[in-house]
Amino acid sequence: MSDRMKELLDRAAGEVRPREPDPVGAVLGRVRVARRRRIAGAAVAAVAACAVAVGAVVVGPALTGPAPDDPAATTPAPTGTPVTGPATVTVENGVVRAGGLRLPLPGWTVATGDQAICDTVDHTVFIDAAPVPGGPCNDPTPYITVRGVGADTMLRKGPPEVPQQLILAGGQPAFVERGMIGALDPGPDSESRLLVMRVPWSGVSITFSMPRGELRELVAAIRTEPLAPGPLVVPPGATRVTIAGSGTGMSVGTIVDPARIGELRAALTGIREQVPAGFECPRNLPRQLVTFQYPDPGTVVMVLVSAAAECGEATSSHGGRVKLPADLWAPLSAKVTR
Amino acid sequence: VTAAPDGFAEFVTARYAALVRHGVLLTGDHGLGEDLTQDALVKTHRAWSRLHPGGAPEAYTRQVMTRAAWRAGRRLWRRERPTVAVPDTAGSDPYDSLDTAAAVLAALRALPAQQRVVLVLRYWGGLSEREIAAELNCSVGTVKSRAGRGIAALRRPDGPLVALLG
Repeated sequence: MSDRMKELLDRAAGEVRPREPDPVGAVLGRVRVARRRRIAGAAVAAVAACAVAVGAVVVGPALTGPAPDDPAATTPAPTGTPVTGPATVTVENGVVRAGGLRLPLPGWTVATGDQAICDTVDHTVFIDAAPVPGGPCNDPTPYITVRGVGADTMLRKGPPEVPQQLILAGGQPAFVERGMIGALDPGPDSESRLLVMRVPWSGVSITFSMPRGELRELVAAIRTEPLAPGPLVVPPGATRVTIAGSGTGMSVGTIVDPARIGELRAALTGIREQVPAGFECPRNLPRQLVTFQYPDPGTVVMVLVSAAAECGEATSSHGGRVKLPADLWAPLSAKVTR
Repeated sequence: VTAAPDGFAEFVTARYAALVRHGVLLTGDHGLGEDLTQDALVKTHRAWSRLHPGGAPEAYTRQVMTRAAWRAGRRLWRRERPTVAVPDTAGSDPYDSLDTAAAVLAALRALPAQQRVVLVLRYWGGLSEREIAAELNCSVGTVKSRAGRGIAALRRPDGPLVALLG
């Protein structure tokens, strides 16, 4: 009994991976907050004592305000809820934050305006800006662009084909244009590769241009909030749904009947069984793209479905990732597209 | 900007993952476990001049975490998150190995905090009942009763781990 219990606990502990990419920074941030609270608490107590002494009530708003030297106090923290508009991209303590996404880039140079690629120093991250091509340099320098882009804009401009999916650490999905996902496959580490990653639920699009080995490391270092994805997020009110086939994007069905759209949405959002963190289905699995369109022009939600028996799952562009039982999707899609 | 005292950043970098594993088992929840770890490290930071060099910062941090998790059963119970569902543990599922870990965490999460803490210290930490009582500043009888109830809950015929415990 004892041995079996220990074995099970070891197994559970063995699957645990810290989600905080910068634990030292996170702890020191909490130290600052705790210190501010203590100082503010002491100061408020002192002020209150003085106020009592003079028979007056004194309120000191500045005492509870943030310390001026705290960068965390001047940069809005990302929220844990999915964003639908463009994310505000910030850089704090070497970590790029956009919506619920964090990309640690310690030591990188930050550029906030466009600049010629040949004038760009190695390892520059462009925030809502981009390198301008051209010039005498032949060997492109490693760079990243991080741009806040609304989910609808991103999906409208998205590729006509079913995109490929990348599961970020923690389990939330990102989407990559077909043909680019190979940049993360095994190959020479020094080979220069380009990867455009869209994270609609976080309102951000990221372009990586760098050697393959470095690209793999950076993508693996991305962290997200909410850390663990929940049920699929698909807002109600869609007026048109298309289901596109695997790979080609050819439409296999269109639904405009509100009742059938509601039935499909209820079935997808009702799935509660989550995919364990750390598990990723093979990238070459056939997938179907279910696109929900809304009366508000341009509003789009994309659900990517893999109904393969060996690895059924569904993800939403607005967030969420669930296990898809093998016997659910085929009859459901056939029924609603009949 | 707060600077890390000498050796603190190296300690956190080296031991953070192990401490998070401890925290996740103590709480049965990844988010709460990492939160517990970082809170404990704040206290370690405050006590760093006493702990480094020559002290035992990891043991200190683990004790802070353990006592905080133990106290959660008394006064922070509102932060406890009851489990909603325990994943199946069918044999040939490709998710099986990860599901087992998830099932164990879900089962821990479903236990009252004090039973969970005692079971983790007893079976994962390998501490005796007397050592656990000293760690938690409680009686051996309390440790025995919490451990007994925790094991009984896990081994119930309809309990979440009955199949895994055999």
